[in-house]
Order: sequence, then structure tokens, then C-alpha cells
Amino acid sequence: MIQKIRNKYFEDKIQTVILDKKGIIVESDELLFSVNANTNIEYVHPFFETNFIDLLKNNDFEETYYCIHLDINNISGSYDVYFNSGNDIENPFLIFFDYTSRYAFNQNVAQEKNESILKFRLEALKNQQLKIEKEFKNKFLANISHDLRTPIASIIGFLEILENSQLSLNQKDILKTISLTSNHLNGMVEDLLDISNIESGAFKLKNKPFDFKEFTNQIEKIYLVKAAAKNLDLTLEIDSKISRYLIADRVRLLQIIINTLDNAIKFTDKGEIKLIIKENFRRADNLGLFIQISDTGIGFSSRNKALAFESFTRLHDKDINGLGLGLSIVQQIVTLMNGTIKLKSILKKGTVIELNVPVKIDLEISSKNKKIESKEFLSTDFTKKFNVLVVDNNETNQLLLMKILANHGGFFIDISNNGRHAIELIENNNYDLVLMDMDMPIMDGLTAIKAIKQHANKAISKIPVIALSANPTIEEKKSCKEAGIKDYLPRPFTREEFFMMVYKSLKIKKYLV
Amino acid sequence: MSNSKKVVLIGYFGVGKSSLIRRFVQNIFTDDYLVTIGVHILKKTLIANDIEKTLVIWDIEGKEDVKTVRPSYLMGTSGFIYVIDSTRIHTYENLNEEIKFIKNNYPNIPLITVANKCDLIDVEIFKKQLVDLKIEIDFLTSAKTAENVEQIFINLSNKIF
Repeated sequence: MIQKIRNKYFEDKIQTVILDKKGIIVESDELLFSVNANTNIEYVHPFFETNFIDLLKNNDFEETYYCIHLDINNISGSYDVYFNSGNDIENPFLIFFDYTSRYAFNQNVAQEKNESILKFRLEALKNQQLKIEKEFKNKFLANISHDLRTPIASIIGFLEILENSQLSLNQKDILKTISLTSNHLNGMVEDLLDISNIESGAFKLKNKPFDFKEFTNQIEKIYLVKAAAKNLDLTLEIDSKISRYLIADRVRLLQIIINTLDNAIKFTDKGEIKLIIKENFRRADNLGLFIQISDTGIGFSSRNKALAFESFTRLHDKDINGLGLGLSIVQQIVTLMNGTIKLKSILKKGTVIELNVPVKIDLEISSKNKKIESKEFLSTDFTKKFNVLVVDNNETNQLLLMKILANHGGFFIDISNNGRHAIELIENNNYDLVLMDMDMPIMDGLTAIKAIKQHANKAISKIPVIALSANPTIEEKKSCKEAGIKDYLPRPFTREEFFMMVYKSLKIKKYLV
Repeated sequence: MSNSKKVVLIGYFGVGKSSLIRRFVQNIFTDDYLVTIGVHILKKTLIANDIEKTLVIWDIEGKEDVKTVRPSYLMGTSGFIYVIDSTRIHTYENLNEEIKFIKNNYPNIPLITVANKCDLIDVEIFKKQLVDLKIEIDFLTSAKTAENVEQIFINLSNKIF
């Protein structure tokens, strides 16, 4: 019985070939393929060439070769080949086990497996490359925006000075255009810096108490003008239930509303712009702000809706004035604030953007109904003049600071090009204030600040110093603080920001409303 | 027949061992990836310096670790070609260990290293990467464009005959 089964199922799958010690075929049962007797096995297929003749010299050597694809006398198959070199008594022989169908199945399995591994690795590699490219882009953008900031700040600074000088009406018009363009340029550079910081993870929110009423008043003031300029109706609905004193990053909250409103105005030629701010929820000191900005503008097609939040994507031909960063920044900041953003839009009908932003209620201030400092700038009359030393190696910066101070009035100004020279001047003069740039040759700002603050002469170590930095970093600010100064002003700064700090350093209180 | 020698191509799967052999033996190339399992054996005769040299080329299935290749496939080999895929660092980051294993177990057998698919890479960047990884590659090839394909077999046959 067993022999019967064996004969039926196995024998036609196995072929035995007997050789002599020189490799000549002596006998073959020809069950799989035919080979000619008296032929040397090495002529049958290249598989037997080269080493088989050497192996035949051995006695009782055996080896199995698995999954050998052979084409012998036009019969192809995948075989396991058993080889026995025989000995002085027995002839060498080969046994071929035909596993063609099994190996074909294995081949399919391996094909699938290898292809999926290759695909997976290719995807991983692509992701890695994308990450590298993105990092490069962010670093490049951050660097270039930093470098652009200083000259733009100079332009804007000088324009402010020019605005306050005697000009003809025509000149004033031209100046206004230059100012608008410069501010627009400045905004784009700031956007670039923001997006690169957000995407590289360097962007940090600064949550502080602020006056929400004053915040919405500011928005109203800006947008009444902007909407009127385009002959659009502006409606503001601010929920009076919202607590007046909130804790959030005011600057960034303003930025997301401004970016969205600017977009709404940009893409709306007639109709209405509407800003609704409501209280979404309130639990203990947690408050959810629901902000809805709607317009009757050109809207997004459904295809473009998906792309609306991509960086550097301009979806409308009209959008020639921007980098395509507006909504991308909004989305990323809202996400950082743990909020959500939703866009609803119908092409040619309008767009509604809904933001949900969680903030905190400032319970302490709310309960005391304490008034938060309003930082509105007021020019001040001085009863005395202050001696100020400007330390900066950049001539444009020197000139700008001199002009701002001279225009304001009330200051005697000295200039120094580096830290070492500044210290010599400080030791030989009586200054009320030092404005110190951080990046200078010979002796940098930080070293000079340390030298002043650690000076043996108490009159010198007490002189207030304001650090001015074109490349502001948290580390640099921290180093300044450790060196003994709190006043650290990143460039570019507005005239208001600058004088706020100057007044504070000189203990002039009048700037508070 | 006495002038034929066995040559084995080793390397990870998908690096293009079969493609290099097909390009060399049959002058064919296709972009399709067909996995090799087991061994295919092809041969080609070269004439160098008026002498016929026959290479019996064993195209074995790709393995991520040369230690896992069946020793019966490597037995009696006169020369090795270790093939890497220049677009996949995974196929060569351990190259030095792989080579060391082969040299220890098959001493005095000529071995050449080949980086295939060089039509897909920036050669300068790749070469710099090899220097960083302290890897030496004898030939940059492309089975697709046929670049250096014949040369690797000629070079190896000069070493083994």
C-alpha cells in the first residue's frame, strides 16, 4: 500500500542520476527530464560546472542544494538537488526533488514581502528627506527674516522721524505710501519669522493677563477704518458676558483675529465683514472663546478649502500682495493654543472661519477690579535733560537712535562703537542711561554690561542699561538678566516700545495713563 | 570547461543582482522587480587577451545578512561580487562587517564591491557618504544604463583566471 502511494505521488517528482567518478552519466531514471548517458554531467547545465568535478574526488561527501532553478533539455523546474560523491565501492549519484510549484508559491510570498519592505523603507526615506528639507527651509527662513528685520526697522524708524518733519502735502502723500509699503514688508518678514519658528518648534506662547475690553476696542478701531476704506460694512458682536480680564497671549490672539479679518477684507469687494466673539463655555477659571469671522467675499472652492491652511499657498489670483502665510499662521497658532479652527465657504458667496480658543479668566484682577496698565504712549515734557550713551557699531542704528532721541527732545547723546570704548566714556562722564547693542566688535554688549554692572564704582554699576538685540534669543535675554539688567529690547522696535523702556529706566512715570 | 569559474553575487534583496547579471549576459534590463528565491545559474564567456574565460554566475536570493546565505551556494566559488543599492543606505551600512565575514570564511577568494543604481543618485554626495561610513566601493554601476556592468565582470575575471 505504502509503496503504491509512494509510486503514485512521489516517484514522478524525483529523479536519480548515477555518475562515475569522472562525472560521466551512467544511469538515469528519466522521471523528470532526460539526460544522455555517457555525457559528462557538467555539460548538462552550468550548475554542474566548476566545482562538481572537484567534489567527485571526495569519498562519501554529500550536500543538498536547495531551490536550484534548472532548465534541462527544455524542461524547467525548481529542484532540491542531493549530491553524494560515492566512494571506492559505490558510484556517485544525484537525486533531484521537483518542488517547482512549492517554490513558485514561495516566490510569490517573497515578492509580496520584499515589495512591501521596500515600499515601507522608501516611504521612511522620503519622510526623512522631507523633514531635512523642512528643517533647512525653517532655518533659512528664520535667518533671512532676522537679517531683514534690522534694515526694515531702520527704514520704518526714519519714516516716523520724517513724518514729524516739515513736509509738503505731496511729500506727505508719498511718505504715506512708503510707510504703508514698509509696514507691509515688515509684516511679511514677521510672518516668515513666525512660520519658521512655529514649524521648528521655537515658537512659544506668552500667556499674560490683559484687558479684553481694551483688546476688542483696539480691533474695532483698526477695522472700522480698514472696512470703510473698502466701503464694506463692519459688524462687531462681542458677548458682554465675557470676563474683562483674561489670561492668554494677547499679541498672538490679536494676530489670529487680525490675519483672519485682513484675509476677509482682502477677498471681499462688497457686502459685510462680521466679527462675533462669544463665550463658548466657562468652567472655574477656564473660558472658551468662540470667534467667528465671516465675509461676503469670493469664497473658496471645495478643492481649495483643503489647501487653505497650507503655508506659501496662494489660492486666489487676487492674492498678489502676500506670501500665502496668513491662514497657515492662524491655524498653527490656534493649534498651539489648544484651540480649533473650522472653515466653511461657498465659492462666490463668502467664507466663515470659526475659531475656538481656550483662555483663562484672571480671577485675581477681576475680583479686585484692578486696572491693568494701558500702554498707550504719551509724549512727555521733561524738566531736566538726560545724558544718554548709545553703544552700537552700526552707523544706521546710531543715526536712527540719535534722531529718535533728538526728535523727542530732552536728551544729550554720546556715541560709542564698541563695549570697551563705551566703558572708558562711562568712567569719564555722568550718564543717566546706556543703550547697548549686543553684537559688536572688540567688546560685545554682554561683556560690556557685565563690566558696568560689576564696576567697583557704585555710581557706574547703578547706571541703567537697555540691551538692544537684532537677534533676540531667550538665552541672550537670560544672560542679560544674570548680568544684572532687565531691560532687553528686541529689534525692530517701535518708537513707543523704545520710549516705554527708556522712561521706565529713567523712572519717568508719566507714560502711564 | 577547465576555463570556467564560479562567481557569486551577494547582497540585500532588491539591490539589482539579477539585473546586473541579465544586463551582462543577455544585455536586457527591465524596471520590474522580480524577487529571486534560491539560485539561478547563468554563464557567459569573455575573451580577454585572446583567451576564453567562462564565468558561471550564481544569482542567489538576496539576504540582509551574508551569514544566513546557504553555504552550499557559496562552496567552490572563485570570486564574489558584493552588490549594494546606492539609493538605500540600509543595504550598505553594515558592509564592512559583511565583507569581513566573507573574507574570514572564504580566504583568498577575490571580492569586488559594487554600488548599483548609480543612475539614480548624486554621485558626489554618495561618495562623501561612503567616506563618512568608511566604506570602500570598487565600482559604481547601473544595470539600467549598463554603466560599468561589463567592467565589473572583466575586472573580477582578471583576478580569478
